Amino acid sequence: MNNYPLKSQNTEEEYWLALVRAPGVGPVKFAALLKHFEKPRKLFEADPSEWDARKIKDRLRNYLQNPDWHAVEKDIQWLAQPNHHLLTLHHPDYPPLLREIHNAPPVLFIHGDSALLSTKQLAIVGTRNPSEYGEKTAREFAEYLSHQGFTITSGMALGIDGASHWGALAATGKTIAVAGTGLDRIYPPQHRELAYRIAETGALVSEFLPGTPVRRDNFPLRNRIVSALSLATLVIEAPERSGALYTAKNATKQGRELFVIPGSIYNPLMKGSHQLIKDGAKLVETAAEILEKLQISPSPTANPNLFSHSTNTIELPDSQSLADSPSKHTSTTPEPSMSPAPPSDLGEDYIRLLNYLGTGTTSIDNLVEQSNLTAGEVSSMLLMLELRGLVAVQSGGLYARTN
Amino acid sequence: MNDEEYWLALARAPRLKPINFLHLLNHFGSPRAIFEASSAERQVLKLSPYLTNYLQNPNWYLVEKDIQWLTQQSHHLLTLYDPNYPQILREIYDPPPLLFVKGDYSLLSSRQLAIVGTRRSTNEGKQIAWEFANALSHQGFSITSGMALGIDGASHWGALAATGKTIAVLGQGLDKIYPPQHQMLAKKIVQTGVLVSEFTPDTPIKREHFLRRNRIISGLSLGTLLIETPERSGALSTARCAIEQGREVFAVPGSIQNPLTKGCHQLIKDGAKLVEKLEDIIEELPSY
Repeated sequence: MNNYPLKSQNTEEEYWLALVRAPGVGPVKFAALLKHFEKPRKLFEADPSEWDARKIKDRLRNYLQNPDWHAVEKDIQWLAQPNHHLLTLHHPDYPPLLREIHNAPPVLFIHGDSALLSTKQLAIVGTRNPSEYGEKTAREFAEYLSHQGFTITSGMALGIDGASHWGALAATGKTIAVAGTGLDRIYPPQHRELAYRIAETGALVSEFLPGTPVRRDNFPLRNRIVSALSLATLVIEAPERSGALYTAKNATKQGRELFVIPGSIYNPLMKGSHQLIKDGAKLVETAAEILEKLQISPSPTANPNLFSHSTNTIELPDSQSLADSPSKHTSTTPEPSMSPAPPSDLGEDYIRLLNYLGTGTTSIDNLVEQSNLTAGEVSSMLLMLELRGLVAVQSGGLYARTN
Repeated sequence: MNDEEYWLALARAPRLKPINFLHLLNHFGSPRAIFEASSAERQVLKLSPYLTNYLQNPNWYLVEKDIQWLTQQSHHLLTLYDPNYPQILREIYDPPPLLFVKGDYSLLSSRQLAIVGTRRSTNEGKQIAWEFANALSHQGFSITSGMALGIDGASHWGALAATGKTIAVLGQGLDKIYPPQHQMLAKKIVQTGVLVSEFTPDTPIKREHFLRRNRIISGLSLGTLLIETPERSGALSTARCAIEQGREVFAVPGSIQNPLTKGCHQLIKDGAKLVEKLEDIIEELPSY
């Protein structure tokens, strides 16, 4: 037991982690304790009489006297990995919108770019079993809004969540997946590849300690973070009693805007969505409307035609505009906050990528090597090319040109 | 000449809009009084030269034809002063002074719900229209529409398959059935429902008449249900009439990829009630 440092030698961060592990201390209780004791260390170091004064129950007292430093040490090891971060509620980088809610998570574990959490976000949520229409809508809206400077936040579930993340990856790559498990495991397993790409250009986030397994109860908790991080939530295909509906209700409770895509009344996946509209959520048909409602004017650098009208076809920048773009792909963009490279900037890279593909089949790794781009960039570009029907995935995850 | 003939004569006055017809009625009390007024009395109203000329020389020949039309079985005329004139229609800003009716005129005073939408509807749109019309008909509503192709037609058929109580408001004289594809439908409607028009039986088809007709569809009804309504469509103008008349507006949503539902979605954004099922409509309407 005493292989581990004495209490006084522990860092503040370790005290936060120790308190997260305390029995019976959820986000609300945590906040109440912080309010009185200021920081976790002071709670642990307080005189037991002070614990009495706060009516701290025996179970917690016992824990405070004997915290699980062994487990905390494991968290610290997890955090020591590259690109793994911890944001406590008191950290200046803790997302301000999330801090506003009454049950804000006391700590956030992050794998990826923690600065993204404080960017302007739009949540996109919906059913795990969407129709083709729902999936396509999610991907297109995410892609457009990503180009417009939004970070796309969702829950990395199958279906709408996944399509939204992919859409953002195909644009700027800025997307946040709030997980309902510890970040050392990927759920659902089908999204291993997605999680890998999100960690590269976006961020995986969880309030749950590494090692937290899949628990049904944790998913509704996760949903409040998805909505709270975001200025607004867009609901696409939410059946009755779905998780997406919880997220939507959270958004309303948290005073955030709620947008809903309508659909056929014969589509049972739309029942929850339509109920939300009846209850006052805003019906939206185009992604441009969302910008308008949030009073953000469309970025002139992004394709202005994309999504100003709904159509029957996927609107992606045509190869003409990709090729004719006068601007060069450059990493020294003048506005560091204006993340999204306009789609036309990607033109040369796309053509190069197609050339690397040649006439055979190629792996992503191979393309990464040849192109000097990151795996994330190559993946998102391939997705975009795939959507346009220019490349196709072959068996074994290899890519090939279609013509 | 009897009173009815004076109503019919005034209905044929050139360029006399319903609202001006009403002004004249309010001023003089009856069509007969308008015709019998002295020119000095008429001058007070600054009538147009067309109208002044016509009042001195009405077309009694055509009025006689209307009278003949009215002698046929199940043909009726309801003037604004007729006790059988539908009360709810009388309440609108510009009610038609006369209604030509073919079928059961008492239906005009029954509880109605209008269902309208595009002529170029999808099969899904037609199915939705048919199902709502059918269910509402079973609930005791008469279904009112414009007998156009697409949503209108499907709504009438849906009601015919239930109680048969359905009202088609036409934009031309009742002598002509338009569109020709709806000959059979019109025949069925006359049997258990009613065809109605504010235009004299010989009035030909004119675009602007269809727009005028829309205010009667909404004006007869407690509410209007929109299914597959594109932007700038006739159905959307019916919805606008309903709003102006203080009636309920209901809209069925659809895919954002279907341009035919753009008007419906716009109406929902503007405050129309989104409708998925029968109860969404029933719960908004007074039950009596």
